[in-house]
Amino acid sequence: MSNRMRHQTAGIKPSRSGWASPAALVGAVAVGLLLYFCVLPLALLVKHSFQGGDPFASYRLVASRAANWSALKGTLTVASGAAAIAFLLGVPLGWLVAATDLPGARSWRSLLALPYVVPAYIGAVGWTYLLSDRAGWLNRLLTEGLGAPALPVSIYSLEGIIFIEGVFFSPFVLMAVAEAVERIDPALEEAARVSGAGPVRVWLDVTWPMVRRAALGGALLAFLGTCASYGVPAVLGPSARPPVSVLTTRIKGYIDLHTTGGFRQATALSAVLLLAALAFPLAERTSGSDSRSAGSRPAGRKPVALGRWRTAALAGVGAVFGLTTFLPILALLISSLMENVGRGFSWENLSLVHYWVVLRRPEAGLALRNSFLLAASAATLAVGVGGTLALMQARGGLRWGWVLTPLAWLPYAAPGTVLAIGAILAYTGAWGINLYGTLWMLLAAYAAKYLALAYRMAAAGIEQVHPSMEEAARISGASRLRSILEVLVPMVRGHLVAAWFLVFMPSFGELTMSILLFGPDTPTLGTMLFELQSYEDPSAASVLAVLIVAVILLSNALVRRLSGGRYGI
Amino acid sequence: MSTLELRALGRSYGTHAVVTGFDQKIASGEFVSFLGPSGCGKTTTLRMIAGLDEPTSGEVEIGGRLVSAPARGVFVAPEERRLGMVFQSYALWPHMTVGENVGYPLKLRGVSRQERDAAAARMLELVHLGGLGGRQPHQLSGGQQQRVALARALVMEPEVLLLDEPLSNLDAQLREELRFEIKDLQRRLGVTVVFVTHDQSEAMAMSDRIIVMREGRIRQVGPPAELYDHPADLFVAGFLGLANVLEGVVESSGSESCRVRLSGLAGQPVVDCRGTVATGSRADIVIRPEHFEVAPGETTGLVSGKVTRVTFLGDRVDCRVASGGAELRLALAAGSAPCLGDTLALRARDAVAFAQGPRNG
Repeated sequence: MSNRMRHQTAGIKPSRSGWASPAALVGAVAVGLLLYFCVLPLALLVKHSFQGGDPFASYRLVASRAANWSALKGTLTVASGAAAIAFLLGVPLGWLVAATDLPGARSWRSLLALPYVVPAYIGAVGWTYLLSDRAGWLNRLLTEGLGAPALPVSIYSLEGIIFIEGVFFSPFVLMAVAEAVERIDPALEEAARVSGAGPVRVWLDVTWPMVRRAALGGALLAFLGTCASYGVPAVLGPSARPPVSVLTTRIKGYIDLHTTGGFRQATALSAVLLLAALAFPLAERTSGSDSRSAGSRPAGRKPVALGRWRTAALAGVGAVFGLTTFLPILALLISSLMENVGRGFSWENLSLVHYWVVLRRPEAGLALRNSFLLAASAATLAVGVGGTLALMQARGGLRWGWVLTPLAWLPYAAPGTVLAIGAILAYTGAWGINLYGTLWMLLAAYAAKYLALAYRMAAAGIEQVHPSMEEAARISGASRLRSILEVLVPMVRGHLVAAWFLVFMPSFGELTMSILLFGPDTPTLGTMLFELQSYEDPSAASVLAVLIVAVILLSNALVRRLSGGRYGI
Repeated sequence: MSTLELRALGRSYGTHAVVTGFDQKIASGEFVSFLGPSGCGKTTTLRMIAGLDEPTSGEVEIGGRLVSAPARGVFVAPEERRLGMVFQSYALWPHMTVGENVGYPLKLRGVSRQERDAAAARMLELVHLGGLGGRQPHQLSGGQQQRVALARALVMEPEVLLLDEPLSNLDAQLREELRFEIKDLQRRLGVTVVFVTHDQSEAMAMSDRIIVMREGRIRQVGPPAELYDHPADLFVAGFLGLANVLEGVVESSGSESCRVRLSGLAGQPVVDCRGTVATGSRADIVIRPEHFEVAPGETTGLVSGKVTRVTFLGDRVDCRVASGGAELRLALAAGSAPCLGDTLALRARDAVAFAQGPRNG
């Protein structure tokens, strides 16, 4: 038999058959979705802001309004203040929970990081029960109960907004510091001790210089997060005296005008706000959160003995947790259970009547269903697309694979308000697709926004699997797709489950994008809570808040259980 | 069982050539090792045989079936090459039991569960792991995991078995044991084996033929003894076994032999060497440590030196001898151990001379 004959009988296949296959199709679909959902909205937004005869007309118009300048000032003031509070809370707490023999350090770490998963606007709603001008329970306790001279501390104020944002972004600093502390080789500190430095000196000369970068990175994340935040200033800002306005609420105001001119100015303001995304990669890297994922922590670190300060530290940590996190959530729970808020605390006044009333409303059922459906679909979509992209980058051998990461991160870095405006531009009529007022619109925004979280988690999982695992399957006779489905996917299942919940949790209580994208038939828990809070029924709002917090905490507990404590907080 | 033919096989990334012009025919049932330092292209060549890497030039033929030929647009996916392969990391799937790992290749071919289990049990028996099919891979020791990987690679009776540094993660004793077992299995099953290693003793102990590679090219091919006794160049001489590499001037030469005066050594060191080098030219001389002998009483043609280190190794003694500016390494019989500081007169029983050209070592 001649050579030619032989290889013809063997079946000639095109080269690169590895990718000319179902696997290649899946990859192409994932990249297509990435471009359509993550890149297109933001690209259209920037383009739209420059439209018209004079490309800078919208910007000029926006710049001519004093209200916009005061909104910018508001954003910068709130963000700087919040970053400072996050830093001041996060650094000592992060060090205490990671480096010392604080009793229950691991549990405190989870508790103090709780605001990481609970939406900040829910905290704001909780605080309104405690510190609204005259009716706030804490204010009444201070004035009536303790007979303090009238000092109504109002949460409806610039300081109130800064305080809540600072508290809710403090976990970014806390986690960055805690992980930086854990990365320090204990020998470095021991060497300083042996060289003659006391514990305080060691902290100042060795420990702090090594966590400073991470702490500042965490504070920068808090700053950017606050710039992008909508819920807290929207709940508290309008009733403050003087009213507090920030860019995100200002953009929402422009959209509410429902005019072309208003929309154009909203896009210009959004493009300005989008600049914040530029600093995001820097913040991620310095805070060390881009490498957060691998579960293994270096062992063998001996905790710093707090000695006689141990009780004081415990009291301090407890007080911070109680005052910042526990109290507002407790206030929500109590107010949701009080039949008549005016009658004060008593056993007779406790009932589930609000739950009954709220959940019987058809709108509430719809919102609950929508939020579950959206969060679950967004999580599934993000894990599917994010997992595929991570796989392509890790295993595809693609020359341009590196661009996938920044593209996937783009929507996460962009403020939610900005992404939502982009989604309106992209999905209401462009290329004949109009999703306005449908759940698809919200799904697209959620999945795009949180894709990066799923992508990072999947990538961390794949990184831990040596390629020879799949190669062994190929040699055994499995096709490329089959080697992925039967070998790789089962091996990274834990990461994929964690990734799913990491998207589910923020999607479930999402407000910032939803408030711009929801329609009459597509309320979510977030939008319904916001409307109840603002306009009609604070008790009903607290019922929804309690529901959201409960589902999120349950999800978090589930992640921790499934991952053996490696993921979740 | 089947032959394996690699024709002018090459792999490059851009302008960087990893493997160049690899030409070799491997007979059915033969055990061949690819030996070389890390980065020499041996693993890349193995992966091209497996179909895990695509050649950029040349052809691969397994059992007369052309599986890779970029010039003709032929590329058969790895899963269709009917090979067995053992990876350096073993690559046992942690989410499957040992039995499921071994049975997986059969599952992919639609073999029923019952038959699969029976075959897996039989294979595990063959690698001395009978009854462990229900265990999880992580419950096994390194050596046992290696045996599972071997069973998985052999379960569907592949035409060719590829071994990628399969012993490098094991401790010395286990390594020796598994060497013997793999060799024994190969003889019993008659399978063609390609074995990649950087460990010359492994290659020498197991192979019918060794292919020594360096910088992407074949340097020498042959049975272990031939490579050891007749290295083609200094690199091969130094890579297989220990070698004292010295320099000298050729005093006289015949066909296949010459007499060389070594430079830089004390005494009157003239040695008879194998190898053809022109009279009057400089040559590199390779002398194996075991080819030195202590020659008391004689005076001419001897290297003299002082013992600087003596290491007792049980069956023999490893000595270092300082002579002139050089340090020689000697392997002497255990009974004849010299003392530290002794002055020795040494004769070389055997030496190989290489012409000094453009340096190749």
